[in-house]
Amino acid sequence: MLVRIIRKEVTELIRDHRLRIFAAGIVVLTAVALCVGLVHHKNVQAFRQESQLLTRQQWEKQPARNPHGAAHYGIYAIKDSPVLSFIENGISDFSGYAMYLEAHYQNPMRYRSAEDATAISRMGNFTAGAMLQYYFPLFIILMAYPCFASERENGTLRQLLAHGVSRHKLFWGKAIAILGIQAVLCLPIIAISLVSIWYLSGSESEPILRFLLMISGLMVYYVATALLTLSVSAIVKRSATALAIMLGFWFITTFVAPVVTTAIAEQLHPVPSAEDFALGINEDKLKGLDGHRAGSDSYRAFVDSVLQHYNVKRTEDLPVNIYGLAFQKGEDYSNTVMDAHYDDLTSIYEDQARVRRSVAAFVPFIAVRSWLMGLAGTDFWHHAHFHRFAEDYRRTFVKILNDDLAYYEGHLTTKDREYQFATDPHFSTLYAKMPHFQYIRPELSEVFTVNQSYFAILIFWCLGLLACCFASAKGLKP
Amino acid sequence: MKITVFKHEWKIMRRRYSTWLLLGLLFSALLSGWFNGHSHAAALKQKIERIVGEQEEQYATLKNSFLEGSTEELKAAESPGKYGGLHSLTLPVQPLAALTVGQSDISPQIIGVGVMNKQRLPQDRYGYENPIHLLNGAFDVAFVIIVLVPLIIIAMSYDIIADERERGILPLLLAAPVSMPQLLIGKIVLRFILVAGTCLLTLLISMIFSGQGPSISLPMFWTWMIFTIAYILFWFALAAFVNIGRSSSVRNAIRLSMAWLAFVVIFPALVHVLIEMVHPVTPRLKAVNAAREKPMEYYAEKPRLAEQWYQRFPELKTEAQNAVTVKESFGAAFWLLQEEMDRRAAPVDKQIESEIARQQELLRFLSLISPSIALREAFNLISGTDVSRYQSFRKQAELFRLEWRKFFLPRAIHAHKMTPKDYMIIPVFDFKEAAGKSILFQLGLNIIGIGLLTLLVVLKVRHKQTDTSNMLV
Repeated sequence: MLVRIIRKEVTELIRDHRLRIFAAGIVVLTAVALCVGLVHHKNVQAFRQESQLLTRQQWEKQPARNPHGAAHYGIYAIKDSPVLSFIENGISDFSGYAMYLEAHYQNPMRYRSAEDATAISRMGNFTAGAMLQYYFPLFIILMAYPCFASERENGTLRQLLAHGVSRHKLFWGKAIAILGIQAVLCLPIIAISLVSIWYLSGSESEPILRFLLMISGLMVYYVATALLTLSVSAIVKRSATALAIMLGFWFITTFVAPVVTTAIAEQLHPVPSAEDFALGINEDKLKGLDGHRAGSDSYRAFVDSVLQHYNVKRTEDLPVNIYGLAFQKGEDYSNTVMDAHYDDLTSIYEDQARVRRSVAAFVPFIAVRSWLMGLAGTDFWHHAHFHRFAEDYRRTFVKILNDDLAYYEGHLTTKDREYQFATDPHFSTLYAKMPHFQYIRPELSEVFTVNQSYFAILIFWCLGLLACCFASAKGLKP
Repeated sequence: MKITVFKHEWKIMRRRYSTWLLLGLLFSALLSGWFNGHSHAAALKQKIERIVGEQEEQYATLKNSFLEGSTEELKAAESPGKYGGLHSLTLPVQPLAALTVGQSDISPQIIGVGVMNKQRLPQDRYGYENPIHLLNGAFDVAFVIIVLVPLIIIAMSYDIIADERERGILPLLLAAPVSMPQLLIGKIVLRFILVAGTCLLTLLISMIFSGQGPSISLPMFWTWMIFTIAYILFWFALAAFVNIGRSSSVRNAIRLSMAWLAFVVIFPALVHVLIEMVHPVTPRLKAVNAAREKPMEYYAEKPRLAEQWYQRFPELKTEAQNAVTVKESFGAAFWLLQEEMDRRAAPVDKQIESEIARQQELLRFLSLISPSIALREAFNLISGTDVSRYQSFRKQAELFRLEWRKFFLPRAIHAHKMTPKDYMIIPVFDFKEAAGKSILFQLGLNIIGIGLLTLLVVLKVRHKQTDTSNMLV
């Protein structure tokens, strides 16, 4: 019986030419979006890799100079475009991708491409991820809303039930038919994506795993959407009402809720302005040692302590370069200042994320979106992870240079301006020996742990709706 | 239009709770949109005022300590330029900015100017806004009007004729001395008045109660309202067009929803992709790459850099300096290097600027395909939160930076002491708004776009209306 119901339902859905057009439209658009995303990702990635090589070359080609001068020249840490960003671009356009690593300061990530884009870049994104999150669920709604309501309107539901068809079989038959069609529609998209991922990342298995997790989240969301629409269709009298309710739900959860949630999060936990943030850091930095302010009390105290340690009277008699020591001491202090300020900032971001997560419990769209961005590696967490990693590298980078200034015997005898004449091979080895910046991406298990709550929300919705469906199937009235 | 249709319809509508629910929703959405946009604009304004105030205070201190015979350090020309961002240029917040956050959440409203090179300017240390919030966009009045109002219009009017027909009332209605066009227009006009009136009243109330009233220029406010009304008209015309057919209310709802999706979401997304493909913008990092190419050592390069500098500005060279004997200081070498780095980055910056301008041009043309694109552009323009204004600010700031440098650099590299006269002639920045004409021209283009679309739809409706014989079925 179940097979017959499924077959009848599938035939009916396939025969509807409007649904056929819509389905063809979204599949073709998604495929186009995948291609557009792929080309975009390739271009972006090529530029970033080229820049990463270039910044290193520039670093190594520096002339001989005071190592602290070299630390001020600095280097850039450039974030690779995540492989799966061609499917879900996430926050990529709104977060910087390059961090200037220099002495004394932890810079934010720079160069947000949305800053140089047109204002309509704010009105929505044409990515495969957006298509899969917005329009595929809409297609489910369009397939499922008339399932019971219009059978009821046509009087066929009464006949069916009079023939003794099991209510549960009727319900699940329709659900399976709808989800089956949806799965078939997703197949070409999944196939194209898998081939593209293989093309981009070769034998690496992690992107494939991430993609499969993304797809499973989406599938759970689709099941939830189908079950919700079927329950509504089973409960209300007219198909128009079922459609109105579901379209309203879709519009509000998809287009309105994320914006409103953002506004609430921002009102409850405002991020300080960049000026205030920088001001706070600079004020706190003034309270401690700064290697550039030789006249300050803290500097003099530090010099005294070093003299005492080496048991000499004048800095000239020291076996080490006092500037190098002072710069590193100042760096250590400014790192604690940076940590304190960035920790405050991070806790604000976390508070905002908490608001979004609590709303996501009621708005499954936000959950599925966060899940997709999280696994694609284009969410805020990955952004922050890179920033932290690059900052740790900066601290090592600056320390190596300050230590060189402090302990390399050549610096004891050279005056600053004589570096230009230095033929000492020490400098070229110093620059070349600097460890390369090699970002280690977070483990998939960690990414999963961070995002699991979103998946759990989707599963809970599904389970809740399953219970709902049993109830509405049981109480199905003609 | 028959006034009786209008009156009857009003009687029915005011008894329906859905009317009040939808209008209430619109009212509260507009109110919260206003509140949110207003608090954003107010914070921006406050920040700018504070920075301008602090800067004036700083200058006053500098001047006073100078007059009181201050320390040597303050007298040195290096001082004002020493702090990379001592001089902050600010872009004034327009009175209607509270209505459209636009690009103001992502574009710098304050640009620091100094003698440092561009990778070290304070605005490069900006960007702490939560990117997820930037991605989702701001919940402001513009969002409510562009995205929510059409949905409310659709919910109010998808079944105005179909519902009558489905309940079998339509033949009865048409048996009365009223024609189909009269019926349709009466129903649409009433709903239009309700929606447009709610928008107008809510905005007026919120502006007056938040104390914004007096500061708002009326012509700008009415331009804003005219655009809003044109947009509302467009959606009602579309609803009328869909209603005139014989299809069921369900089908009407689906058609209108699809139209909403197309105009509000899909077209903008496609236009965005198209623009990015036709005129891609060079990444800003490229300018930095160019600036950092061939790393230089300050002292070794100084004579060459100084020579280069005076070749560009021979008028700054005095008799005494003919031999290019710049002061042997770290600062002089360092600052000439900063200048050189910026000169290398300049072609890339110029390229980016022209690419953005070309994007904007193309967008203005393509905004004719969707009223929501045109409206967003118009709202941003009226509120002063549009891309062009920020680009113009960037450009003017850049020109000013060159002027600033031209003022301080010669004094600094020769270690000249600042004189009281110097303090009087420090360059002053004054942002020049784009000429009113060009803004009006752009607005005009956009409104013509919306108007044409609406007209097209209405004409189609009237054409269809002539044949109503089979509409009763």
